[in-house]
Amino acid sequence: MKRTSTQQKKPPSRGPIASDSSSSSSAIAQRSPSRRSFWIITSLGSFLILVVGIGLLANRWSVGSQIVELRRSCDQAVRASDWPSVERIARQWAVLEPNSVRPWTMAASASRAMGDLKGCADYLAQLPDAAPVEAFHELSLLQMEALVQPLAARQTCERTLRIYPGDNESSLRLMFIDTMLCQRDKVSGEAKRAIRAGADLRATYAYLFTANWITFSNGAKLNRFWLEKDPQNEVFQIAAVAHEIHDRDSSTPNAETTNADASSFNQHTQLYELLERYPHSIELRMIALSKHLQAGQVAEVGELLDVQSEDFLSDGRYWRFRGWYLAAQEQWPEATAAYQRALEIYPFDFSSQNELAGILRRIQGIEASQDMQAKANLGIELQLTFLGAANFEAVSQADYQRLADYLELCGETDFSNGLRKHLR
Amino acid sequence: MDFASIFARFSAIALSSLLCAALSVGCGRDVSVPTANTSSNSRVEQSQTKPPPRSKSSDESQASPEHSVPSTRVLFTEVQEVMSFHHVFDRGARGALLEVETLGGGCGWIDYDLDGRLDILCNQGGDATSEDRATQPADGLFRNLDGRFQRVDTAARLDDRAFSQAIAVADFDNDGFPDVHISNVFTNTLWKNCGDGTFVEIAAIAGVADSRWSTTSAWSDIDLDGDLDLYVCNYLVYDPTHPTSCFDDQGRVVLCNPSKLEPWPDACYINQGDGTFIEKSRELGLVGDGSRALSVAVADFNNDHWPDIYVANDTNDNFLFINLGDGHFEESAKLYGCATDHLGMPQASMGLAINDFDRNGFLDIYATHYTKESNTLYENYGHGFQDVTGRMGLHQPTLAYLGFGTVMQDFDQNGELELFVANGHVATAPHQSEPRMKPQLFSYTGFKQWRDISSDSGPTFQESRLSRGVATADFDRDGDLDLLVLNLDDRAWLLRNDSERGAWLTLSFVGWESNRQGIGVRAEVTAGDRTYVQEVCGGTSFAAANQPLLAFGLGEFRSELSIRVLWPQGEEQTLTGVLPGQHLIVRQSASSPNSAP
Repeated sequence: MKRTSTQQKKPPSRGPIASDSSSSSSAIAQRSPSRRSFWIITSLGSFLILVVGIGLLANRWSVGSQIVELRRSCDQAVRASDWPSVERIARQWAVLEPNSVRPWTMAASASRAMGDLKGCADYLAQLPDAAPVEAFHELSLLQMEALVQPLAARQTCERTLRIYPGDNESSLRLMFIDTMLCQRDKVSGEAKRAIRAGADLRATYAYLFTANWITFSNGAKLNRFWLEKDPQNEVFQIAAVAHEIHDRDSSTPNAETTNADASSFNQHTQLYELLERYPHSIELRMIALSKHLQAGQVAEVGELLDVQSEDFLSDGRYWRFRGWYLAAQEQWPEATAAYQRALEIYPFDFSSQNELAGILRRIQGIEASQDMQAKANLGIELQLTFLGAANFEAVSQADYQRLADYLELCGETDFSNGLRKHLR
Repeated sequence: MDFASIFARFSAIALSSLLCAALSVGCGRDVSVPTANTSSNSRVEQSQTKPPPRSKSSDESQASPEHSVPSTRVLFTEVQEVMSFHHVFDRGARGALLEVETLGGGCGWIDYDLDGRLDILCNQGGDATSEDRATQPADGLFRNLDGRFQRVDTAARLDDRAFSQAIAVADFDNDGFPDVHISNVFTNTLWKNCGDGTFVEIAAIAGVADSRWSTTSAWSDIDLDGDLDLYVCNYLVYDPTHPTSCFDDQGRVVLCNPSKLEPWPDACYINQGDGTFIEKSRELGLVGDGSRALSVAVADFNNDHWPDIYVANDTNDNFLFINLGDGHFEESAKLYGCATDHLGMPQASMGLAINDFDRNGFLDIYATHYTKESNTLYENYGHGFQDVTGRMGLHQPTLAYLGFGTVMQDFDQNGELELFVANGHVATAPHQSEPRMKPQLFSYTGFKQWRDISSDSGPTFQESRLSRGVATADFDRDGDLDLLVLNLDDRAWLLRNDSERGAWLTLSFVGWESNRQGIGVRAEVTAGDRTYVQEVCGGTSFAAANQPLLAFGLGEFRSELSIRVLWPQGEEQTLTGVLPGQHLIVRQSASSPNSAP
């Protein structure tokens, strides 16, 4: 019913009203209520819009005023070193202006000043992408060191590199963390990315060269600490096994850990428990392969190589282990092909070069192996140089020069030239 | 005494000894009779010894020459007590943690009085910081009185008190009497056997009185001129009277890592044939990077008839000096694949064992190493080596051991070799005691695998010691090889081989144009379809002097053997129709051509 009456009251369009106004008073009488309604509604709408607009403007003016006031208060509090107020004000400010960098950095600074590093990191983690790169550096450093959150630091570095692909500091930090965590494929991946993105430093090439084998001397201790904080974490668990095996197998002449009963250094059980829990882990599989290869356990190596996945097959280490496995069965051509594949994927794998030289010597004679052996020798010498250095910065210019030579010898001219740029 | 009078005296002794040696088998040895058909003018003499303790009847074995592996068992029995042999190496640990305390000495076999019974010489240490060496204990010479040993170094005037490290025995002047080179922490000594039961020290006159810290030395005719030259491993630049101190992260005194101390280069003394030597290592190309040598083996590794030199270095790459045949050597270890482990990593090498375990006619190398590094087996396949340690089952069993002396011999004479390894850690800090370790014994299965047989080879393998030098000899003349093991601060072991064993043959050599004791002689013994190759190597093991004897295990093969003997200077002798179960002394023809191969 209501609809009907409304329809009856529905005002005609403005055109006919204007044209008909002088012709018929009854028509006028009929159309007036609709026009009125129209005007009323329009007026009300306009008014509402006006009110909302004014409200919004007022609100904006008010927020702006508040922000100005908060900023002013914040500055005053900073000057007074009133850090609780700074944090409180900055937090209010951040609510009003969440995409602004400053309130978050002010809140972070206040938290830091009050010794609340976690709070500081929490605020920095809220930073918008527009934040300066230094703020991200500060966050990742905080996460890495003070808060013992290497995985969070890792995420921060990755985020930073998405925003600033050419940031070499985050790149180095990311490679450092991944080296500590024995995430070897990630280290070489980042090194290559950094070089392509122009984020390379001398040390980037050191990471590139050492990705597959280096373990920092404090790696085991640090990882143990991380694992204690987060005992169920897959990455820490795997890294712990890697470090333990490395520590026990490493040949430090002054090491004094053996006993007369010659207890076996077998972490077999722990390793295989983890393999069962994390069957997808390439790193874990590589650790197990390396362990069995060292022990000369051909059947076990074969078994581990049987589990094939795309990730596994695209890793140069898989082909090195496969080469060893085939060589152990004196399948020389097949072993040669496997080592060649390993070197296609990872051209500066001196272990593959060394093993391949051994096969060439065996099947073709010493002369045939000379070039490959020379290449391997240089790689091995560089390995010892890098292992002996306190850190990558401590490696001499001359040794980096040799690394550039080695990269070139391995056919990696781009990498070689890239490194040489840093040596001029 | 001036040099001329000494030389005249040597010449007289040499003449008398040559006559003695030519008339009988080594002055008092069992009467020898020819038992084999020989080609060339060589003489072969047989010294009949007691038969192996467990064997089939001769008819049975003659009828079945196949190489089935007999059910043998390696067994060593300690006889130092019953043989009245007592020697303790005093390493002089007085709390100062000196580098020289860690290595300790060697031992060796020497029939110094040519009575046919092998005598023993053992190094001695003492207080390395003492300025007055005369107050320090001397090396021990023990005369074999056929049933017991008697210490005779005073009577024999062999008086070395210079904190000894190693022994090398050979007749360097070809007078028939074995002489002794002793490597010392202080000046090395050369003891000329006077042939009358006494020695005289002539290192300075001979030109080998090196005052650097020396370790293993090796006699070998490296220039193939018929007399023996001397290769001496040198270790670290270190003076125990003014020791270098090293500290750990906490500032505590620790044993210096050898890699932190400067190495001494090795020395190679070329015998001038007149009782003197000239050091020519650099001129010959016997120089490598790093060095820190602890052991050396001189042998023909590439079968070109020229002796090559393999050097085991502590913490550095090992060296393989290939003899180019033109008076020069070329360091080729990396090229040949025997400088490092299979990963290319240098190891802390200590001792060396050389033999042909895979019977391919090329000598393989086994090197002992520090803990956490396994000992390494390099298989020689003719044109290079391959580290086969892991894949042959030898990696895991030695990881926790620190090996020193080692020998690769067929102790049970089943036709496959065994590896004996003497173990014992070194103290690395004053607050730590060095773990004593059990010796180990591995047996080659013949199928590219070695297995640990230590637990079944006698109670000695359950005893932990700080063992160092190991030397082999058939001291009881029963046709198998016995062991002498020097232990630091503990009584040395005299281990008699009481294995249940297979058929055997032992060979020793008397050179004429070549050196007197046949060092460098290679023998190929063919038993049916199998050929065993061995060489009388210079050096090997650690700091020790083996009897220059080749002992072949023949398993069940009891038919006629043929033997090809290759003298260092190229002369070949072939012996056929040789029966197992005897010791043959092969004498080089006096008319052999004096030409290099």
